[in-house]
Amino acid sequence: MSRVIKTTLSVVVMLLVSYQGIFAAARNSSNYSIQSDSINFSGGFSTSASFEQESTLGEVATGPSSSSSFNIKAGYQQMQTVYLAITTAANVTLSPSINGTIAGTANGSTSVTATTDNVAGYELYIKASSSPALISGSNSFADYTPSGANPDFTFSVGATASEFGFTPEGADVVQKYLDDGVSCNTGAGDTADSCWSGLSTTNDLIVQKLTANQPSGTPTTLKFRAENGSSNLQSAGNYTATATVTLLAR
Amino acid sequence: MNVSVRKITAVFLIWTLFFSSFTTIIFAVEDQFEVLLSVTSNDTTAPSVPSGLSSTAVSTSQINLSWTASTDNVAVTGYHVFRDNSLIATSTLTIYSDTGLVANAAYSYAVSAIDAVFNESARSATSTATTLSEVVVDAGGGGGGGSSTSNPLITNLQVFPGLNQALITWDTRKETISTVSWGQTQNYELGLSAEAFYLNNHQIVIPNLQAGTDYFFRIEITDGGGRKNFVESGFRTLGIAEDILNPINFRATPREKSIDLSWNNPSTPNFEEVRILRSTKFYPADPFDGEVVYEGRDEFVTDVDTVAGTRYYYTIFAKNKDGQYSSGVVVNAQIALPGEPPPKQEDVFESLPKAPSVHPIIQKLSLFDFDFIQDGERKQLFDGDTVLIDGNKNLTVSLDYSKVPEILKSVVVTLSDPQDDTKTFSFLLRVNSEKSRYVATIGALGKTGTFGVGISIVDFKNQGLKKIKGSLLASSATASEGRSIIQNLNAMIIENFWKLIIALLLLAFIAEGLKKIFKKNRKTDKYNENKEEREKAKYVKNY
Repeated sequence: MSRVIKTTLSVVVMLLVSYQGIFAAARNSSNYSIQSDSINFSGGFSTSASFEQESTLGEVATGPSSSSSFNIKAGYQQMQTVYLAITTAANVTLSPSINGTIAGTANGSTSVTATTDNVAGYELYIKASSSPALISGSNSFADYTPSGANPDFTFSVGATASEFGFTPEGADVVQKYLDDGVSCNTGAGDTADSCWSGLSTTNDLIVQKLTANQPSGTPTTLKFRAENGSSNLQSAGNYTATATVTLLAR
Repeated sequence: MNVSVRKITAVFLIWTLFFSSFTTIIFAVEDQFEVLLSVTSNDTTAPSVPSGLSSTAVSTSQINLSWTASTDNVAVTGYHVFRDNSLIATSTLTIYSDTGLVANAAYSYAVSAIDAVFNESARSATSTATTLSEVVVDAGGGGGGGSSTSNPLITNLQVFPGLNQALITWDTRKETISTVSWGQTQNYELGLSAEAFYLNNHQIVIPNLQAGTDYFFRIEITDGGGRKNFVESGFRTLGIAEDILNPINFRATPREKSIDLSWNNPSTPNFEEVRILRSTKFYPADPFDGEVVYEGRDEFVTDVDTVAGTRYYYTIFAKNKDGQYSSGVVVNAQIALPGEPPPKQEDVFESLPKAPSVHPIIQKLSLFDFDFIQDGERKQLFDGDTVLIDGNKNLTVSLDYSKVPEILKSVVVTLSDPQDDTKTFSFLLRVNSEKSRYVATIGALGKTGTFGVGISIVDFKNQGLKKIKGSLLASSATASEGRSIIQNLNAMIIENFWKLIIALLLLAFIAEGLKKIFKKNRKTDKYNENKEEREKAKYVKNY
């Protein structure tokens, strides 16, 4: 292999590596938890076909701790320098507009792609900022309530009600949102426009991936639906739900 | 490790670590976004002002009100009733009984109309009535054995209007004989019915009324002492307006790589175009619930964006010039996988899970609960499962809104051809604008014979399916099927294809035979001609 080729290859590889870092920084919101930005020349760096490992010397680990929501790994050695990124989710405009005097259904979706080099993978959660989620002043659509413990396979709203729900679709959607063509939380299918649930103000686990997926990432489509029952009078207005997706390394 | 690789690794490390000082290595990432929805209220027009308010005192504590219905651009949903300028009730009917009043007191009434979004009309002109006095009349008992000396009084007057009839019930404290007369004017010109016995609880069914029509009635009661009293009021029968006409004969024919869709457009002047949508999950329930396959005025389209082995559910909606859509007609089809036989047109709900139960109210439904309406009249059911209709007229199928629970459901009616029950035609019922009925209207069937009727009610909430079967006996139709001359000619050629082939072959044989016969005759003629010439020449020679 000529030197020029080798150099070119190395530059390309380096550019790719640095691009991923820039990519991660560019696509995240201001709510990051910064885990590490150190430079370390001790220890060694070794590679294999499937993972990278970095070791350090001379530091004392304080060990892991946890709360109900997050696992915290504090201390130098405990800190994992994993790459974790999600693409920015576009705002969703449900369409068509609903005439509040008659029955109507509005749909919309957005997509987020989660990427990590963490060999243990990641988890993706969703929550709403308010309860009920879809509100306009004092008016609202009720958060969708499934008829049983699991999400509803079919979106179903009574004639005198108006409800707002969502369903995630993608390769690593958790079992709760998978189906057998009839019911949810059973089978391995991911039937389109099925398995509906309501947003709540607590995080709801929607995606779980057990491996790294860098650099391609894994997209998840979040579908939203609002429906006004045939006998329900829904006040006119611009309704908004603020949703937050949180990506955690496992 | 050679020098070159070591150099690359070192550069790689330095580069990576350099960038790591500028890159946020993160453990949790959040992103926030908004879901937006616009809800409109397109109705800003108030109903018209109610007119003809009439107030009638029927007892010492009750005054009955009646008025003429208001109209609205969408629908009138009720009336506010005011007594002495105070709102006392909301009525969905055009009558109201105000009770609990003081005897011999004057009350002033007005009514206003409201619609679904609470647009309210101005109040009607006021009407005043005075409750009856506590009059004591000397009288002997009576046929009913009443011992009171007061006038007989009518209480608990209630009217239950139907499509073509109305049930009126009332009570009298004393036993009385009642006479009821009714009409479209206050002359009560249409009929009169009298009870034969003295009763306290009374009721009458007024038959043979027209749908959506105002009627007046008068009840006169007489007790055993000959004392009389009366009440006058009115009601409106339920209206069944024709829904927007659906296309008919909607069919899907799978080809090798596409699906042909054909239909007949409605023949009304107000027809604008059709809109066809499809889904791979279920029939699109409204004109915006699925992928648009076609919009326009043609009667045929080929869906080429198809995948073998996938079943496609199509719904076609007719749109009128006011921008309103019909309830929808449905069909499904699937292209065969290579090497497999062509899949049959599925029964509308064959692919749905058969759940153990549906809502108990849905379970109780029968064909009798559905109204089959032509020219505003409900067609009679006979033999329990057959409805006689005119095959030349539009047909409206309707189900009272109150007869099914307020859960998510689909109501689909499937008609099967009298000559070939594998040819089916299915359409959806949807809630009308007044939210009083599930309704669909289709054009004339254009055929005589007995059409099979299957009504399927899908209870999505309970994942159940209720099926009802019956027949439509269509009479006095002309067999045009609404097709053009060319379409009829095409249909005739297709239907008689083999007969035409045989006829052509026969013609060819006959022509060949005639040709041979003709040729043989020509040979004979020529032979005879030659023979004659030869004999002539011989004769000349001999001579």
